[in-house]
Amino acid sequence: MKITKVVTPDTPPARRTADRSVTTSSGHLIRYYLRDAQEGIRRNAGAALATILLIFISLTITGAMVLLKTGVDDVIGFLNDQVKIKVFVDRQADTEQVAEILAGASFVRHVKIETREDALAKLQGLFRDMPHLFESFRDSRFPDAILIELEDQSQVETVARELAATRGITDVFYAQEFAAQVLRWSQLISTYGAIVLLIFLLASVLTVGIAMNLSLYQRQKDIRVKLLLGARESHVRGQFLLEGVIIGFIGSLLAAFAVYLIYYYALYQLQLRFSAVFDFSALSLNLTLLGVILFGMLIGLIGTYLSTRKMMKHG
Amino acid sequence: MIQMKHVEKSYRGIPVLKDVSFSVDPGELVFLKGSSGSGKSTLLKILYRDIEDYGGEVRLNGQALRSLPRYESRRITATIFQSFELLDRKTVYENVALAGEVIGRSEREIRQETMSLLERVGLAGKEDRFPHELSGGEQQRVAIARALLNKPLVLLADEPTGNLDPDNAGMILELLRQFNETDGITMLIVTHAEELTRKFEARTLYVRGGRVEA
Ligand SMILES: Nc1ncnc2c1ncn2[C@@H]1O[C@H](COP(=O)(O)OP(=O)(O)OP(=O)(O)O)[C@@H](O)[C@H]1O
Ligand SMILES: [Mg+2]
Repeated sequence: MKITKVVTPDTPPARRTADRSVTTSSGHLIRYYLRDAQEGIRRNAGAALATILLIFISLTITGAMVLLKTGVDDVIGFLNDQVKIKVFVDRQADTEQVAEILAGASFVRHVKIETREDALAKLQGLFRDMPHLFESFRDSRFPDAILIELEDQSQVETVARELAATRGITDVFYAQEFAAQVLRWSQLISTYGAIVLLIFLLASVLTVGIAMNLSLYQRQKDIRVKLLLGARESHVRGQFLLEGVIIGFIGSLLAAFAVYLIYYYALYQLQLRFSAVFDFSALSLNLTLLGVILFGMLIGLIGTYLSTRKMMKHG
Repeated sequence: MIQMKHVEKSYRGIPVLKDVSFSVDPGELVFLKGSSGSGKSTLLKILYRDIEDYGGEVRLNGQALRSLPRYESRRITATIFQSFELLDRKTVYENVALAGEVIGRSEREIRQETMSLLERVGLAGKEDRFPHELSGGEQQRVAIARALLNKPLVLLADEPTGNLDPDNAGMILELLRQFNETDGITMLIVTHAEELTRKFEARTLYVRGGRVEA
């Protein structure tokens, strides 16, 4: 956008000689403000660094947690299965019949048959990377199994003992204690994790605000002079917002990089080893990284927006 | 160029300007005098939009001041001060160029006009110095160059020679007079320097008892 403004006085004096035209463009402005934002960050390097660090830490934790969560939603399902009791049915017995009888029992809420095919499919997943092991299972004759969900989880040990003594049932498996504990923990971590994260994010916004307040204070004279020279208030504020966004961007870029490293060196290794349990898709990784960066810029923007509100009021 | 009609301003109920009416023609140079605390700075602040809550009417270049966005009227009226208001971290060149930057002029245009203005105020060769490496008179000349870079119609000066010895003060006033003559910039200059202004063929206004008198 090029604007040529020719200012003409109401009655031009005869002795006026100078050409009054002044050419302005927003393209130039953006360049100057980018430069000023850079200079501003350098001048306030300590506070900027502290802010970047805090954004980096909180977004790394957030990003890693979010990514982990997308990957282990399957684990939770897997563990939920573990809360159930799994019984293997005698090959001579009729699985459907046994299941029906079990379903009628007062302590049973729900039963589900897991056929030989189901079991093989699951195993295939588990041994995705070790096909030779899977092959050895394929030949063996697998019994059908029944998954039993109890009305009252605390009854599980008594029920298991009873089931073991029942005719037609060869084996009883229940990992209840362990699984329930893991589930309880994961729930606790989800709840408290969210609270801790929220605190971290709030702290990040506040730090941006404080850093920007410091920066505003340091540059009171610059601001006053710029405004006196005819700068638009919104541009002066825009420069600070730009600074906040840049700080947020740097912090979140580092965080995205860290999240990627965590993915590559920890989560992806888990997935390689326990592919049935962990499943991190490229999409959820990319979305998480993108989200981290956008969030960081948003933190910078909000923090600065809040701290420059006053400045706008005073004009 | 500048018109005030029945302008009033009080600070916390204490009136400073009670009924100020006067006008300055385009291209005119006018001195504004008055005892300390009479309201000279207050009057200028109204013109450069540092004070917005006043009574009465002010017109600038034929337009009601209140109807102009603040940045717009500040591009018409440039200001210089007793305290120069230069940025310590910027060089002479950068201080002057800043004026062009904040309104989005091109680097090339800024460079050309900054250099020519620095030449005109007698600071050629000192572009890369910092304000603290200059004398008071030289600092005020940087401020003048900065004020004039965007070709304002009006220059408002609040005791521009207040911090200078008589020799330097005389040079600054002479410089302002030159810009007024060659570029036709309207000037309203607050000053106490009785001796120095006597030789100017300029109108003098006095702020007295909350009014402006000839
Ligand atoms: N922000 C303010 N709040 C309250 N009173 C003020 C304020 N600014 C100025 N005043 C008062 O208004 C009166 C006029 O002040 P002003 O600065 O306009 O005087 P002046 O004519 O420029 O004086 P000087 O020659 O000393 O610079 C003074 O009595 C001053 O104390
Ligand atoms: Mg004063």
